[in-house]
Amino acid sequence: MVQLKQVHKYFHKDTGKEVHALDNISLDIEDGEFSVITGTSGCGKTTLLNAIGALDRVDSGEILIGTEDITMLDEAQRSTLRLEKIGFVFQAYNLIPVLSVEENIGFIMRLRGFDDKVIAQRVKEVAQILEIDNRLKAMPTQLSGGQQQRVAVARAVAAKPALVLADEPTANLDSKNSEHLMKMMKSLNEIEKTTIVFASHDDYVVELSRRQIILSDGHVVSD
Amino acid sequence: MYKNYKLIFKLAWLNVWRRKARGVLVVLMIGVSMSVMLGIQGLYDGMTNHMIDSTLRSDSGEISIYAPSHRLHQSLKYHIKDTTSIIQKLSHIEQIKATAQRIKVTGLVSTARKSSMAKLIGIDIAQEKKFGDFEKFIIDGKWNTQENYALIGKKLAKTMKLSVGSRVIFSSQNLEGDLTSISLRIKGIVQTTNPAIDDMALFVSLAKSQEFAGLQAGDSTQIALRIDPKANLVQTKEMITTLLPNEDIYTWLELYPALEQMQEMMKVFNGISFFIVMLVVLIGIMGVMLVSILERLREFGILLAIGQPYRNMRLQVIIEALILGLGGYLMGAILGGAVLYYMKIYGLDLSAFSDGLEEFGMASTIYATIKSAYFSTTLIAIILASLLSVILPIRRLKKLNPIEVIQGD
Repeated sequence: MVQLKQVHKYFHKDTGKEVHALDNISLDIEDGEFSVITGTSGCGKTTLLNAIGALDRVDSGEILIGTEDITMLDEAQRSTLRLEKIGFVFQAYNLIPVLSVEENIGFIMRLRGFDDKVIAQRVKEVAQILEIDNRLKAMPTQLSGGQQQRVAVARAVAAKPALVLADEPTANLDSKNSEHLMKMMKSLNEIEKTTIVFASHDDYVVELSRRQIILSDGHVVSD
Repeated sequence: MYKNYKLIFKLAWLNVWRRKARGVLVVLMIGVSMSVMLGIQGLYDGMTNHMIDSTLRSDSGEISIYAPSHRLHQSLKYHIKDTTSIIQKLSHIEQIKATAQRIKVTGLVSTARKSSMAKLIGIDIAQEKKFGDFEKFIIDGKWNTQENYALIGKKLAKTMKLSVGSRVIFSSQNLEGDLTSISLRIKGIVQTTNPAIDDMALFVSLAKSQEFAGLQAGDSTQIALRIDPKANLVQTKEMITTLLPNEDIYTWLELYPALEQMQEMMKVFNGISFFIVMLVVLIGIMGVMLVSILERLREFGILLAIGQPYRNMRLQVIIEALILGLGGYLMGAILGGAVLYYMKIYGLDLSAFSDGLEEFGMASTIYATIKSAYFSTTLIAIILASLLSVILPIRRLKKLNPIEVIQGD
């Protein structure tokens, strides 16, 4: 479903030095995968995840989502692709503070023009899986960190995207909340067959993932 | 798409009131400055309109008819003959709503101690009532056609130190050029705020003035006309000119060019105060919107990252500015409307400066005018100011790269 072919990405530092952030990356991510991209800090995990998520451009190579090469898309097309095919979970929960939990979860579905009834049903369904169905009317500021991150996950998966990308989703959580969140995401992956790719160096995330892609200095050193 | 608009509007609304104090302060600032501006506009227009109205009512009407050369020589020799027949002809022009025939004789008014230049004005009180509600100009005493009674302009009475009951002598030349005088008892004082009247006028009955001037019944020196406000003044003048080719016809703008200049000057003043207030509104909304957007750059970046189209965010920012602008407008319209209504009914009392104001033909109490154009023009300007105010914030958003925000996590 996601295919990376000889992807290269360079960063040009202020010092004039060029850093090879992604060095000839080729990968296949199949439907329903529960994978993690891991490695030491600065190895290129987030850069790779951003490239797959059409947030960042690469210097060469192809990134196919389905049959579409996203490196050829303009900004508006990339935005549409992100809206329709990809769900994002970030390290900071990044919920919309003025909307309730229920509205945050249904946000992307609303942007995509789903019917009110469908949104309400789907929000309830996802909230039950992530065990936040009793907090639907609450505002984000009334939730704990763990709960907020589960709302962020619910928002990412509610519209049933082809791919969910989670960048260090447990980084701001304590171990208990991290485990809880990962179990929920695993359940989602099993129940809904959602393809989830993490970028994380959290041992628990790595341990729970079915596939570990290890990066070092922009290379895939183990898959 | 409908659901998107609903969602965008909801986000805009909630974000405007996210910092309530800030939102309320901007709305208050717009509302208060707009109401002050409306008050100033209403007073300026009210003052000008009052001056024009009192001039039209007390003297020229919208159009005045004179005998040829009368205005140049101011001589009784040049007078209108057979006024009744002329008025009869004019009655067929439907734009003419009222007529008043007058005889004006310039001369000298004297008491035992003082004398001053004055103008004896013979009027038909019934015509004047319909023409300009003349009785409302009488601030002391009353009109009386019997005996040698007269009404005097307020300023002239003050100059001559006269009051109701005083006696004066008015002297001038009659039609034949003979020096003639008339002794008049002051029965009332007239204030029109038209300096040409207040400084000079001695009103007597038409018959008395005809007798004094040596004119025949049916002669007059001026026929003033009130024209339907909806009628075109120039076209009406042309119609009258065609009907009366041997008389001189003038519009009030030709008779009182200073009033037109004053009207233009007030428009400029109104334009300046309007521009200043709109600039304040523009800067106010722009400041708040810029700060609000900079505070929420992270949120916008995340929204962009998860696929919210840029056009949605642009629309959201525009709606936020419009909510602030229109909120201020609503408040300003209510507050300004109340201020204008109060000043239309009770006026702004400037009697402490009445002497100075009367010198310029202004009333000591200024009553505001209310025009729907004040509100519609302001609405359009506030919408424009709101739209202009978001140019900078939107430019900042356009440059926003979601990666910057995510890397800041």
